Amino acid sequence: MPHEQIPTWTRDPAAHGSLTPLQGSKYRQIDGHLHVVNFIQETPGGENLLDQMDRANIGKAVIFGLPVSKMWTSYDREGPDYYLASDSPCYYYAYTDVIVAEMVRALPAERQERLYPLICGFNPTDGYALRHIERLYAQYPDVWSGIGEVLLRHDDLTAFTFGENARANHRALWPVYQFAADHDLPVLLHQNITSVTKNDHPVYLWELEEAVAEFPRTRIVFAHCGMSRRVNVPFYYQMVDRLLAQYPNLYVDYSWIIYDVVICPDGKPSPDWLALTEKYSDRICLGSDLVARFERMGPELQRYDVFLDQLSETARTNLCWNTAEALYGGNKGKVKARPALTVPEWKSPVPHAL
Amino acid sequence: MPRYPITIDQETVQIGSSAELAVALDVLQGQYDREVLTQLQPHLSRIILQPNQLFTVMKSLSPDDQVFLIQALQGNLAGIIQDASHLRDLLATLAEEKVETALLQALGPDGLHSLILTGEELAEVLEWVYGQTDELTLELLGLEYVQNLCREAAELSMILRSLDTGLQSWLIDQLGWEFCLGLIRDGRDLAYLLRALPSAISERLLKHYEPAQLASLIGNSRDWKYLYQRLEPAEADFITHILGLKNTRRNSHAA
Repeated sequence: MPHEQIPTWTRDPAAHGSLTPLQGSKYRQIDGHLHVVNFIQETPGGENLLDQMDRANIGKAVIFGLPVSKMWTSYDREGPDYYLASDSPCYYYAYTDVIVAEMVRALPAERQERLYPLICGFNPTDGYALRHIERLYAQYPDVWSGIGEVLLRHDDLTAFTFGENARANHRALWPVYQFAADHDLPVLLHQNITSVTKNDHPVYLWELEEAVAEFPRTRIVFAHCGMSRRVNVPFYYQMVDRLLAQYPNLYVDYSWIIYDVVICPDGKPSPDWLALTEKYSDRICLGSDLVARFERMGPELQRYDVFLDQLSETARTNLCWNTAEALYGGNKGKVKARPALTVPEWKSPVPHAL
Repeated sequence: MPRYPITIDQETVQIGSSAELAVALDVLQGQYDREVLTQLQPHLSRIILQPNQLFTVMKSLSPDDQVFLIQALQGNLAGIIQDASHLRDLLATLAEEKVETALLQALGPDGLHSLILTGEELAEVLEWVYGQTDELTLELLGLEYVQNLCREAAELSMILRSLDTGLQSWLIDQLGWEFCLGLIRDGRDLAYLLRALPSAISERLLKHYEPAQLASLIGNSRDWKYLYQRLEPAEADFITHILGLKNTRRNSHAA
């Protein structure tokens, strides 16, 4: 969720100013991580989104709302416009999915094809979470391409959000993961790997691993590889490398601050991350993680060029397009069109002849 | 959406909204802000239409360029800002007195009159300007307009609370004691005004009343209690003395 920590949101008077980044990456991309509403559930709209995608060389986008809304409390004289804009709490806002669905359905069919919308507007600690997803699939069967971004461990946002702390291994998510497995849908999760002050080891990683291990048929996308503002641990690429090796159903996206902090610090691609990316390029997507500020897609995605330049053609194409297309493409209408995966009927085995 | 070209280093992009303008200024690393504004000057009033759009662009600019933008938008500023709460929010984000001055002068009396419609709104605007700029705001509004905003003692007190002591005294002198006293209709009104003023000016106010007038104005024990609890110790002692009441404050503290 870029907000002032990303290089494209700050100015460096020593750097050469140029309008080039507005035109986006030189490699046509799928933006694999884009919030189309902000924290007060406002959106510039679908036409604006596609217009800005065209300006930024973005062919398709994986889009979703925000499952929480920031309250304008009685003590806020100014209405807060970001979750960190004031001390006011956030609350789960299911209507975010309707905003996304209606935004998409208002577009001509050929333009809808460029968007992969996900469902996110449920409380991940509520045992009824799956009912929301089922309801949305019933109401808009041809809109959705999966589930996410589910906001789980998220430092300040977790603290601001009413109710129990959401986490990847919460039992309320078990039916959601099962539904995703049954219908072959991806689930995009935001789960910080650690808390803000525990920067020597990943205290929350086990929660993610429990979910990923428990549902091996569910394709789980680990947003920003678990990094967040003020959240970091040593041995980051070794950790991601181990996770991708250990769990074939796990995917990651490079978006937000993970790129600037460890993948390409100071604009210089890390050799370790280049090697890891080559190895797992079919499990890695790229995203802007913008929150409704579509006009910034160009600079956000253009900053990946210096990293993409050093990848092989295959790996680059996977990151820019193929992985996201394989994950999110072809999912619309799936739930309606085919029955959930069924377990083969049990028959008592015929005893072998002795 | 109509878009307008900007060309930097032989590279041209089209700008149609304040958001697009802000991100263009960002990727140019602040090195071409004036150049971009100059190229877009004839179109700025079609790019910046609403308060949040003005805030977005202002936040991207240095103080000198903020002044340039304000002057470029001059005739449309009041329409863009729309109301006093947005003027307040804009002033709150401006850190340089010269920018605040430029903004107020660009709005002028007509612009300020169209935005500031109540005493409370004026107080909230004054809260975010300081010193000379406070005075400029009041001068641009005009004495008669400020008088019209002060329909009740509470409104005058809110305005006074947003001013420093020197300007409080100056404004009361400009409005005249007769006008100010005319707003005080009961003990609560008196409490509002005394609460807003430092004790030196409060004493000047109280000296306009005979003890019997003051007692009549306060009227009952409930209003007296309300008033007393809101006064600074020196003011409380002074008014207690005028009314000839026994001062029990020290004893109360001891209890």
